[in-house]
Amino acid sequence: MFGQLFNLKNQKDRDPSGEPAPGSSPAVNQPPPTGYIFELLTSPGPRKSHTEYGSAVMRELGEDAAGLLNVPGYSFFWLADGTSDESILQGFSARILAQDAGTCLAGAFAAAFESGQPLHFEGLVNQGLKELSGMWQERFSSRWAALQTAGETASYLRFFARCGDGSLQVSWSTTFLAGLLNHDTGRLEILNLGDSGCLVQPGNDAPQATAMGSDRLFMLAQVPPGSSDMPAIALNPGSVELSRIQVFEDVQALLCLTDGNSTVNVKKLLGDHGPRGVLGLAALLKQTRSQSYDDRTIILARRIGPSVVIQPQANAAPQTDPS
Amino acid sequence: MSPRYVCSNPNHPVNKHPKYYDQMTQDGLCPDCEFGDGILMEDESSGGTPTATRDIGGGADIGLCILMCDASGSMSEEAFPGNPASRLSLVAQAAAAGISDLFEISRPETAYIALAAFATTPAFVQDSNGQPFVRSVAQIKQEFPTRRELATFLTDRLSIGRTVDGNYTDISAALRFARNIYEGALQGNFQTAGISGNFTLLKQSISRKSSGAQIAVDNLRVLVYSDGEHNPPDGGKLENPFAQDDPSLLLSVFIGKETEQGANQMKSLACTCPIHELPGYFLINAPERYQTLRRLFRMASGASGFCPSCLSASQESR
Repeated sequence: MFGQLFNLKNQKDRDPSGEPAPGSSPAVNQPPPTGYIFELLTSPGPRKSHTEYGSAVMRELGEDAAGLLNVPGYSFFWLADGTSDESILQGFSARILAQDAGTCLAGAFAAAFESGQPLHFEGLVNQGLKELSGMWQERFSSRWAALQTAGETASYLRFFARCGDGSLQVSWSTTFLAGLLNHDTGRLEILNLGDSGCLVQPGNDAPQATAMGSDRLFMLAQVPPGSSDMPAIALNPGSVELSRIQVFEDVQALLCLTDGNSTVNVKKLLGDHGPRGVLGLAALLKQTRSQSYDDRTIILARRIGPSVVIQPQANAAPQTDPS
Repeated sequence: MSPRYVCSNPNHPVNKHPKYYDQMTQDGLCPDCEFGDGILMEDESSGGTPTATRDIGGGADIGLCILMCDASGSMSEEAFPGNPASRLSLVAQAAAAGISDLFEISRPETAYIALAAFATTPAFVQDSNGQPFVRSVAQIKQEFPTRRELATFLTDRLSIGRTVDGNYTDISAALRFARNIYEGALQGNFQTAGISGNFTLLKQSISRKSSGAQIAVDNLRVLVYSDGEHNPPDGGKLENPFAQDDPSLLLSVFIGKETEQGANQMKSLACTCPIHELPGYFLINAPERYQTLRRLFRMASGASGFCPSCLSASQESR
């Protein structure tokens, strides 16, 4: 589970943002280039092996999904946590939605990079969401066609929940956090839908938590009352507004975590251990066993380069091997 | 006043959770837990030394289910023809099974259950120390490791005359009692249960059927069940203090025949599910509905879902 690392062409001399390419022809006064070390850490919750639902036996990947797309000068990363209490239809589940969301958004950024377009965060996030919706519509169409051939559409619809007006409905949802880091400026643009946490350390300032929303990505399949046609598939929200995107400058370190990481919520973790800095917090979390039965995923990034000095934090937890 | 600290480990080896410390440790980890099992957090509550269950600590994010249990005399009657189990026994077993199904949820220490009984009057069910029974699922697991132990406790506390007088069934008073706990929870406290500390209710985003919009709903549910009709000592009308909420978070259950007056009354109290636009009402009128009752206790105790369609959509139990 390390997400997808896109195998891109070597386009080192091209800056996808349209700005002067870092490292291509460095001016005398330009600061030396910097980059980020990313760590993706994960462990599954212990409840997956016996989970069966209808004809679908879910012994595949967990509901957490994370990944990283690196292009010269930029890193795009994502973290999703499919919600556990929603229906599974063969080939469609919250965990698959979590996986697909990252795939589609990273695909949108990769396509922009490969075609030489600027990496415009809001626009590409919305492009990725549009592709996610289209992917599910297409997949559902294929599934429906197979069901029609087998004469099984009616039995399939029995898995849908009946609503008060007689319509049928199934939904799947996932949290979704995605960020774009500019290696040279340290500028971070980030979107956080749901309860995954993200702590950011700008400059040598104290860590800050990104805003957390109660909303998630919902994929809804709906059949109108009295109809036995193919369900209409829709993503909610189908796009995000600029106001949902947060920006941090000169980011030295960041830590993203799904809610399975700890009994401690992000706000409280930050309040109690913030002076340790993001790296100190990460060290603490690495040493702490999860009290949860949930999947647990951490993304940790820290800036590197000749001009980068992350001040050591007072009272930082010692790095010891818990084994 | 200097801060004190609390260990995050719900299964603290020295004292039951929460365990408090006067000083932060050098490495931030709990000094008493096995390495890595707990980290220290500042406790935001104030006041005297807390006991294991009378202080929720400070700033916790929780979900809450308020279970209002009918403890009237008729609950000792046979639940279904041909089956010797009483209604009380049926409910106690289903509740114990449903709650224990939550032992392995993501964060059992954040899922709280407030247990109350009603008949002539409402009252909190009391724990072994005579205190109102408000517990997290993690605490319940620690106190009642098996379903049988939990069912035995529930059967005892909900039996006739044990917690409340069982001669009447004042559903309006029961709902007012629940509303009082509910209002406190919205403010972030359990003062009505004599529990100190403060908390924040978790919120859950749902997709509203009528508008397609996502709305944030508190992780808070009230589940009331009865096997009879509203029959208060003062003859007052049935009143629903949750009726004006949008969405209402009140789920109702009737144990008995669909044609009985009590069934209509319980149905009239139920919320309308914002996801499926169905009543949050459950009829338990046959032995095969036992599993529905169990799953309902699981769903409500986890402060999620609203209606039978939510129940069918939540069968995946992980």
